[in-house]
Amino acid sequence: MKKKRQGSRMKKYLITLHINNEDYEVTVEDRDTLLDVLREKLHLTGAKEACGTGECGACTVLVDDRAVLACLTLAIEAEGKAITTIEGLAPQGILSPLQQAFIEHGAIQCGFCTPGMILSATALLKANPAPSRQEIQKALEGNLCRCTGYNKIVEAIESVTVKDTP
Amino acid sequence: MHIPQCTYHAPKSLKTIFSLLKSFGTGASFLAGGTDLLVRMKQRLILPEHLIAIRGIKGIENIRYDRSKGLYVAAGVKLATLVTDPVVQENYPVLSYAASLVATTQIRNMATAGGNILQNTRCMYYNRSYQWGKAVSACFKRNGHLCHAVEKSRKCFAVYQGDLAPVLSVLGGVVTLASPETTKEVNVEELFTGDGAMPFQYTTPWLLTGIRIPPPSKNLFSAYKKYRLRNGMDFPLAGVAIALKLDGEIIKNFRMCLTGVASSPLLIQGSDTGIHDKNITLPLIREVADIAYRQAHPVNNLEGDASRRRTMIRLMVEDMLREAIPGYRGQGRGERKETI
Repeated sequence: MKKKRQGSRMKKYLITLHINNEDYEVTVEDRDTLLDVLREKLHLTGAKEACGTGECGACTVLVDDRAVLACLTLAIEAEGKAITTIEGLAPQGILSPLQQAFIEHGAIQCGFCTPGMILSATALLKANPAPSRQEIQKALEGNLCRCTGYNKIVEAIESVTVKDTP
Repeated sequence: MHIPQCTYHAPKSLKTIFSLLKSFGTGASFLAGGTDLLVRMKQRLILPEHLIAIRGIKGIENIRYDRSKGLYVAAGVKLATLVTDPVVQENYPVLSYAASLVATTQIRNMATAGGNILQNTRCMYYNRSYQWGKAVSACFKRNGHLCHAVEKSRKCFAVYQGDLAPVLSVLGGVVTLASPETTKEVNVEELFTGDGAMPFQYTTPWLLTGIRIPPPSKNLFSAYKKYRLRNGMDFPLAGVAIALKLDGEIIKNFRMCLTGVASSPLLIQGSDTGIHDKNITLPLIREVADIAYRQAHPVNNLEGDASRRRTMIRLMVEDMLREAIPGYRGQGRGERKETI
């Protein structure tokens, strides 16, 4: 990690973040969260800030394929890891099957929780392509939807799970 | 909500950690998963000038199991790993289960075993925003001289709400602590002071580096129950862990630990309750549940009503001990006849 002084007593560091299969060089302070950097410096605004204290899941991103909270992850600690944001699920604007399922099942109301919901579900499906309804609900326990549209969200995820073939 | 200004360090060895600590003194905090510490920093409840991350220490995310020595969980092991690790699942299912009940999927992917044990005590008059804190008089936990939860109290009633510590305590877990001069092992329950404002005996420069649990013994029944308002996410408003060794229907060893009802986990040993060498029967189970009820003294400083939380302790102990009765498993509350 290269250290780079910039005027005030706050140290700034030039780090490389590997986001959605691309490398981004970005200058950060010690206290910057991954969410601060994604939204304010890289303008990847899919991850949202709502509670800021780890309760709502609106800032969920994937780090090495695991769902984590960007609001409680220091940007410095994310260096060297593979970060996936909602923007990374639709390269060239082609939606992932899960994103498409959210649209088809009406699983989006105001849309504020949707990126977090989809990323939590993406992590689940990568680890377990055929989850039960209970496992889906457990995986989404950290994502709040204030529109309360949970049933349609779970149905959308169920529609893309791997079904047993007879 | 921004994290206040601080300097981040990621040393690669214990030696470097302690030399950094020597330079920074009490202005430094250890950073593991950050899910407790960074929230408290954002709320301006603590303002460390330096964060010393432990993630760079070699082996800090290791789990080791040996049939004769038992399980060693390094402090930096993620809770999600405790949930899914096959060795933990097979030999210490209660630990894996308790870890699965902590917070949410995202938090379990970030938070660590050591951090969970050393999570700070909580109170609805303390874990509030900076603005809220400015609007009311400072309580003991905010370095003031009063308690908002218990009027005229001379002490802080903030609650310890960890899920792992009670389980580790009944399993006979010990933690490894390192300081610049020495290392030592202490029982999990010895980590706590019982004071809500200053809940831990071993603060900086002591660093919790790992947890050791003895090998699982035969005929050991262990269980954990957690009462909360929402099944996902919430801290325990009351929780109980039990470990019980039976010889047929005779109780040979019994440990029970309560969480969410005091400023530290409350360990109740079988030898203190006079139930060793007795047959496990429904009247005895009720007696034990009453003992737990009498030991729990929650106050109205969390979301749940204190009397309800206390009652839940009794019900949860009773439910778990019923499950321990040989031949009883799978039957619901009240289905077994009184004549066992």
